[in-house]
Amino acid sequence: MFYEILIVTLLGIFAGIFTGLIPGIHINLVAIMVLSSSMFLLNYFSPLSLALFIVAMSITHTFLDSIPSIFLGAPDSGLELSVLPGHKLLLEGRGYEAVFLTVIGSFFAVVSALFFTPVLIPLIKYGYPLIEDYIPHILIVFSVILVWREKKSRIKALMMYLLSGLLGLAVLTFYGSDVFTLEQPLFPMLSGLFGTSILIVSLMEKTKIPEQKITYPKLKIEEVLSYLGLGFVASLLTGTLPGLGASQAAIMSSSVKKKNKPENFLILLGSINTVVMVVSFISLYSIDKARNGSVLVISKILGEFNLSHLFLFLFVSLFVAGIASFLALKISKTFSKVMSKVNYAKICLSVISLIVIMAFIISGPFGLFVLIVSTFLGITASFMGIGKNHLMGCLLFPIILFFLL
Amino acid sequence: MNEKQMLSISFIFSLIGILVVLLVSFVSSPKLYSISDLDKNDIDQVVRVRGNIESFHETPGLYLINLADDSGKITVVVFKNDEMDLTEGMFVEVIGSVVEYGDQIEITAKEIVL
Repeated sequence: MFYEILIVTLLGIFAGIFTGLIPGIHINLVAIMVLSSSMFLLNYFSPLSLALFIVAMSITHTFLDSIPSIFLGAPDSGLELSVLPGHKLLLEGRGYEAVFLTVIGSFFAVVSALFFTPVLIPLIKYGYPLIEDYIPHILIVFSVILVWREKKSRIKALMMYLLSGLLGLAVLTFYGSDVFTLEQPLFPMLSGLFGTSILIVSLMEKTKIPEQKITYPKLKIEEVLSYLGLGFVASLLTGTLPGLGASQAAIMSSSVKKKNKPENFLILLGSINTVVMVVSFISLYSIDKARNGSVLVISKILGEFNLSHLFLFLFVSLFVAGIASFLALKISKTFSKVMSKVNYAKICLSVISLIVIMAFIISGPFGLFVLIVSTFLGITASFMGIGKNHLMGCLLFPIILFFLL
Repeated sequence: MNEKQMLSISFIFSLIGILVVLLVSFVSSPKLYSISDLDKNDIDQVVRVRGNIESFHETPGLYLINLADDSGKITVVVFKNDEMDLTEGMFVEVIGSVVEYGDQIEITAKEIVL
């Protein structure tokens, strides 16, 4: 059994490298493939092994998905906002440092989640029913803070929030028809708002990526701890409540702070991205609710999810976190070396082409249209000079309405 | 092309685009199926079916409706948000996702038009 666990964990890490580095390939997609071929796979592996494969893949993914976000400007769902501070550091020749910061956040998130599990189990079990009814109100308050804190123009910020909100509403409530279909609607929308739009603006402004240096952040321990703590609290919300992703949690938690340095924001986002996954396992045990696609697949494969499963998942997560940290830093070092040698305009065009092809394959022709519209909206926000985080209205606004109506 | 012109163009295109997506989302409706045409290949698809309520059960969290059309029967699961005024024999249209429960397929309703 030990060797089987080790093998599936390593296979999961390998799959996580694949999903983390290629924009548009989400862990949910692989998890669903595992579920749909489970009849065949269960001849060779136990249900627990299949579940551990998904755990290893999911955790590895959360360590590596910051690499394409930062170096290529192609965000994964949930990591949209890492493009912004990550891109800033990339333009200062500190792309590796940006990845390093997200890895710090991710790794310490796993360690602290493991440490606090005995507290988290009853907290989620008894806290969830208390907070469940108030989630739209919490989201409204954070949306107001988000817009209010825009220094350039609150009116423009509100306009971008609402326009992206309307787009999100249309896309997320799209049932499809014989003529129009839209699979995986988040992919074209988020790629347009936070990926291709940034790449096109970079191309138009003839952005040059400076030589990338291997630098390490100078961090104050109290700042790091405060952002890790914030990320942890926000992750409790996202890991237990449906519809909230790492970026929404990052917005909510960072709005508590008056000023967010990109370095701290990247630690925050890295920690939330990973701890949300770990908290989802604890939620599955505490309140029997799967809060994301891969945990849903795990629950379907295992049937019953008990305390032994939870502890095994947590220890495998810690093991995977160590390997994934090493891999993320190694791979981002390679990216840093390559970035200096390759023409950035060509990289931008290649990534835009990749996103366009993926949007067409994954979401169909209408998905391509959504990608174009989202890209225009993202470009509008860039030229208005306001923060792109207001475009998170595309998820916040529909979620608020879904809860209220 | 300067920044102001770019802003105007991108703003106008995004506005038109959002309106088109909203319009398409509003007018499009999932494919209408006869109940007997649904099978396990349709799992996770959003479908539309019409039929009469043969019977229904109410639990604290959901309604379980046995829906029948000329071709067959299917169970429709409706998670309770509001109380629904259901009666046996009522004709309804259901939009929902096809899911597998045990060995059978069911529809988890997203929208019910009474």
